[in-house]
Amino acid sequence: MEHRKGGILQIGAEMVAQLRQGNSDTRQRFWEESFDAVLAICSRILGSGPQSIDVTTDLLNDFLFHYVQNLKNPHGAWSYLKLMAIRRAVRERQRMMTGEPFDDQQMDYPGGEMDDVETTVLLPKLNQCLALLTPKAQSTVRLKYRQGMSNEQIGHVVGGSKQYIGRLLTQSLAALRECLQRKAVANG
Amino acid sequence: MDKKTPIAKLPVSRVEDLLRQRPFYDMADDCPHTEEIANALADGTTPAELEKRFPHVQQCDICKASIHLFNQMANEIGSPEQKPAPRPAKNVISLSKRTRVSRRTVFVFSMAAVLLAGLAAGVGFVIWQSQQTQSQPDTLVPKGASYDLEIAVSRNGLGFPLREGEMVETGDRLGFFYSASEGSHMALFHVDGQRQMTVLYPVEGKRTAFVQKGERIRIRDGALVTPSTTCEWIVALFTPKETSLSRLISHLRRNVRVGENCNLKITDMDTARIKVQQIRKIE
Repeated sequence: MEHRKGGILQIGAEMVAQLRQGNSDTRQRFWEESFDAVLAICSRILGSGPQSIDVTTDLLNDFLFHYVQNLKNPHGAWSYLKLMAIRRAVRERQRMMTGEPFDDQQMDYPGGEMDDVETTVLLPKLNQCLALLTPKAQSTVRLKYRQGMSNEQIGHVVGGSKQYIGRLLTQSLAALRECLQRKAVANG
Repeated sequence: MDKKTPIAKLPVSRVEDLLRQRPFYDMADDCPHTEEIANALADGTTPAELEKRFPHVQQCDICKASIHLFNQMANEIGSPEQKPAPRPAKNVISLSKRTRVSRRTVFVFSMAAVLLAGLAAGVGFVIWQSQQTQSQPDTLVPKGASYDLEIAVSRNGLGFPLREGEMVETGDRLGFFYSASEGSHMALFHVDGQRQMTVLYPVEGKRTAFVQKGERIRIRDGALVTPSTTCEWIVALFTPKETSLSRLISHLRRNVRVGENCNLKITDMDTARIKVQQIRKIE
């Protein structure tokens, strides 16, 4: 049933059935149990940093809300998740290494257009600042601003009440703002 | 957005905008067989069998790299079974233990340590020098000495070690690492099925290069895999004394035989320790 030696991560048919039904407790348990394992895979390929947490967060989110519905073999869920993590990390790594420019059609800009120069200056610094947050805070920020999830929905996935997620986001934003300002001032 | 807002007075709403604008690829998976491939891998299907079952894999670099990494990580990641850190020996002085030591004692011990370190370095240098001069005339490889060669492959931006039985692909970049229990001289050759030999290391010079003893030390010269129609091998020769490369090549030519099923046989040489790794097999 499980493909992890020692049996920490167990994604069996029963768990998959509950995930398909949208059971929030099972989603939370799945997230807590699989996050570190998937992050370890991504970090192995991408190194530890915001990119690895982004790939992990997006993959687990996609798995929970889309892929789990189409799984043909629930018993092989962990292998599937592992291979998907490797594939996505490899693609991200290839993009990082080749310095491939982003394809506008593949990106969305829900925040609208920004000043190009300032954005160009701030975005790399934002990545550095994100790396200072805890993995959970980074995931929360990712789910909020990339996936557009509400605090309550995030809480159901990563664990915690909507108030807790709200506080975590406020603290994270304050920390990011302070870090960005410090870096911007330091660089003139 | 207020373009006049100085960066130093960044509002939180601006940070939120930046977070929304962080560039990231749409990660929708483009391989239609990921789940089947994952299940097959979990059942122990080999990459070669996978390529037969899923022809798409043959053309997809991401699939190939992912399958390789999946197998590589099978015994490394995802397993919580980790050996606990060894307990420190009892005679190791604990730094966390609070003990009162007078400044004078610290000074005396520091001076003694400095003197001992200097003495040890001096003795070490003298021994090293004598080894350098004495080991040169030796012609036979020391019996107890052990040597090894490992090949690292860089493919599609990913690096991984080439294990026994794994083959390279055209376009791969190869890096070489040696392990040697004794300092010795070394040369690295590429040998193909027609017994053509190319010196990979040292690229400059006509004689073997001296290599220090150590584990998994990178050789500065690498190689790029080009198309080939024959089997290929990497051959490392460790010799106790500096030898001319042309002499080694002629020696190798005399002693190398390519047998059936792409088996490279090299008759043992008293004056060199040989390590061979096959990198390409043409059926």
